[in-house]
Amino acid sequence: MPELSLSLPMLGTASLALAMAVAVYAVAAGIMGAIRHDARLQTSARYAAIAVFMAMTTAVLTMQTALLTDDFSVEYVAQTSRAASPLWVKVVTMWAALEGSILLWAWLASGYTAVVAFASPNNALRNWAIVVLNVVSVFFISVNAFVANPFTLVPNPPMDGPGPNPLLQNHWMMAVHPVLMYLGFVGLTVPFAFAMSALINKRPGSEWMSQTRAWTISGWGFLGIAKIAGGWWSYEVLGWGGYWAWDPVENVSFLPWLTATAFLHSVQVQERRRMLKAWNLLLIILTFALTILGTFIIRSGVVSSVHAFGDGPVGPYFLAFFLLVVLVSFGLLMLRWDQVRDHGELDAIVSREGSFLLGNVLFLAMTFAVLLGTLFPLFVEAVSGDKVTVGAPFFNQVSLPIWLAIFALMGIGPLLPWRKASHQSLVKNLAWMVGIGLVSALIAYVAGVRKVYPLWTVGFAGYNFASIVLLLDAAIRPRMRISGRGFWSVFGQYAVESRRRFGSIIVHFSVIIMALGVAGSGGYRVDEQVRIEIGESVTLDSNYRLEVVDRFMEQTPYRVAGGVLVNVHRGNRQIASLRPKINVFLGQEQQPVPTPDVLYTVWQDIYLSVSGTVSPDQDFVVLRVVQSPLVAWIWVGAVIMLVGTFYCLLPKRRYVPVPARQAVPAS
Amino acid sequence: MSSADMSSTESSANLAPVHGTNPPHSNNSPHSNNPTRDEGSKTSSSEQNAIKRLLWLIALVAGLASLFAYGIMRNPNRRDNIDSVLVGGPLPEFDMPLFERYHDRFGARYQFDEDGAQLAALTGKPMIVNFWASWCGPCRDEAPVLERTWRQYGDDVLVIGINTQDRSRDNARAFLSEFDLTFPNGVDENSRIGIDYGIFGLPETFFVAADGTLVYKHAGPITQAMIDIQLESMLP
Repeated sequence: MPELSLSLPMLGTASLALAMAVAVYAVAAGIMGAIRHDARLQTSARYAAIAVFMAMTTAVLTMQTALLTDDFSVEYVAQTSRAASPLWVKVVTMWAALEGSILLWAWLASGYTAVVAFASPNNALRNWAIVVLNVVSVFFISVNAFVANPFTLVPNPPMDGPGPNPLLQNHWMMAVHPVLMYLGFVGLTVPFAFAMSALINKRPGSEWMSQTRAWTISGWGFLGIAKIAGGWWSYEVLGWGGYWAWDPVENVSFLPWLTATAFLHSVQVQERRRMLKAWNLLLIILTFALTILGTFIIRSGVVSSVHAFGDGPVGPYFLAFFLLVVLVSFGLLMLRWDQVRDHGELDAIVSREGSFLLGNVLFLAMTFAVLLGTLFPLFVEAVSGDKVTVGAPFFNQVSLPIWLAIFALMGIGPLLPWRKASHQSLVKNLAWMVGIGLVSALIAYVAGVRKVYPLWTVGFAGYNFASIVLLLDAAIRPRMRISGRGFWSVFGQYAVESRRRFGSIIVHFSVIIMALGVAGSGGYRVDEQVRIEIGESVTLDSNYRLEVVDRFMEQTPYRVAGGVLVNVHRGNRQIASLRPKINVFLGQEQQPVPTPDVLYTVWQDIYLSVSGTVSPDQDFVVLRVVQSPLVAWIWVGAVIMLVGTFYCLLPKRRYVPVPARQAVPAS
Repeated sequence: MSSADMSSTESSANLAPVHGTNPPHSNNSPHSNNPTRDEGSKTSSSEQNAIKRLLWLIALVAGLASLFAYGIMRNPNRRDNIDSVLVGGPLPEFDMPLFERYHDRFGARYQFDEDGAQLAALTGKPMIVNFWASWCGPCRDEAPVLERTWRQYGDDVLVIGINTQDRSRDNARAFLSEFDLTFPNGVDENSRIGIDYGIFGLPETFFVAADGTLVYKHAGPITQAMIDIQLESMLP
């Protein structure tokens, strides 16, 4: 386009360069401002953070314009987009490949930095925290600017592109899962930045964590929900009928969630008892470092994975940043070691803080085991040259006992008082919990559950449920006695006034639900291939009957799909019609993508996926039939978890008792 | 139960690795322990400790750096070798269209079934089956090796290439002309063959004995030396 002086590749590259320059300035101004105690420089750094965000927003808008107008002179668009794709696919194609997803990450990072620069109160920690956040922004923008520029100009633009990876364009989750993931990563950068600032300022008290509580909880919530959403996505879209495979890519994104969960719990000990200062700093540094490490592992192909992709120089670049982060942040922690060491002592191991500490150790043990299993093949090959693989059996064997221990601790921990538990109340509570746990396990046993881990899980689910009832009872009964009001009124007041406590109860409840889902689907999944003639039906062992009614074809401008219509019968009743199919996307004919269809029920999912082909000259179809009990509980639990997490974040409000008193005189 | 005992065990198992070397006075001043203000022996000992800890950290970082550097240096597109369950057994049958350039010599399709290769002149010979794609870097490295093998052993061994998971046929054709591959190459339509053969990544190479059983599977780029070793055991 010679007559146009401003092309999109130019505009995008220019805004990246501008963002980069201003971000570097913001770091320099922040550091100078801190060293010289110059408030004007510090303010300038804050405004610069806004400018970086605006420049990055321009870059994002440029990318969106290029995608929506099919401007194939932008390399990223030429490689990942297609003119015929529907609008929403074009919008989300921005994060369908490496360059664009870094752009999204950099944009979110600069956005969070801008919010912190403007919304966080003016105090001793703010300046250095903004410096650290800006350094992180500089890193991500520089990835885009130097090694993975999405705006590279294509001199002879093609007429059309291949479109995004077929696995991605198949499902609306593509719009959601990556964004949630990055919101989680970026959110947890904020407490990391304040922790660094606390170390630099020699103020390793708990101000850094109380100031960033909302960021921590929301970041943790986003990360957890992103993981589960990813699991659901792969269950819905990929043809294998599972949601978790212990693949290295899944593992490395699981690691920061584990350390963040440990952090979320242990900050409470520091807030309450001024203990575990070093531990908390360690956890938040680990969380951030593992985020970068994970991205390095995914992007460098250093560990073999089903989804690994070698993306050129991006891997080493992330590695360098990871090493820098580890060196600087742990180095700083060690320099300040004398200030962060605990001087208080644990009064008793059987106490709230004792249980938190133990839980932390378990979470870290899990982190270590998963990290070890993921990196072990690389380590062995480096040392001896042998090639080994570490598969799901290792991870299951190691993690299931740890999960059960965490699950057990989750029930008893919140019931223990701070400092030291009195034996009487402890024994009484435990008796209830263990009793109900045993009864639940017994019922499960009678109902036919004979496998060890599912039985333990059901037992501990009952035990945890009892724990929640006891917790609520302990909170509500005394309040009822004192105020003389009814149960629901007191319950409402408790729920509104103790938001964090009540939110945590909701989250723990959701964990029970999800644990049952994992136990059921993990322990009792039936996976079979069934060949059915068109018009015939097959009865499964579980008494479901699958009737293949007919084949069908669907055609849209960018996709051709062939599938079968299957009626699912239970007894004499037809309970559902499923339409599993195989898609072929325009430009990606070599990679057909199955779209399974799932009948979700409370007790059992029936999951159908077409294996092989559906063609008019073939009078049968081969279906992969996966029956997984209780899978739906995982998704329902995830929604409950989301509700609980964000319930914790609602602004504090006082409870206004509405009806009772005023209603009486009126009547 | 003596909870006091337990708590003392707990505190002695504190997080500080240098607990023993520090005199107890650091515990006496829990809130005024600003190291920059303290002078004298304590400063130097805590500085020494700080240096020791930093050295540990640097050692850790150096260890991680070298491990990952090793990981990056080896071929980034390599896939770890995963033993195929197919080794020792008969290979799955397949039937694929060949690229146009091979039609004159080998016909339009290549069929591999329980009777072995259906290419008239090539039945009953050992076979090297190579899975590749034009976008795969290591495939470019090994293509000349395979071609050389074919030219050298072509009378005794069938080398066959299967193009799988490629972006487009044109890319694959360009790859074939670039390396001027003369052994037959075909297309894995719908990635069916790759699935049947349990392909984990690209490239992968299967060594098949004359009776159709799989002798050895190699994941990752193959070298002339590996091919020679395998052929030595497979050829009479």
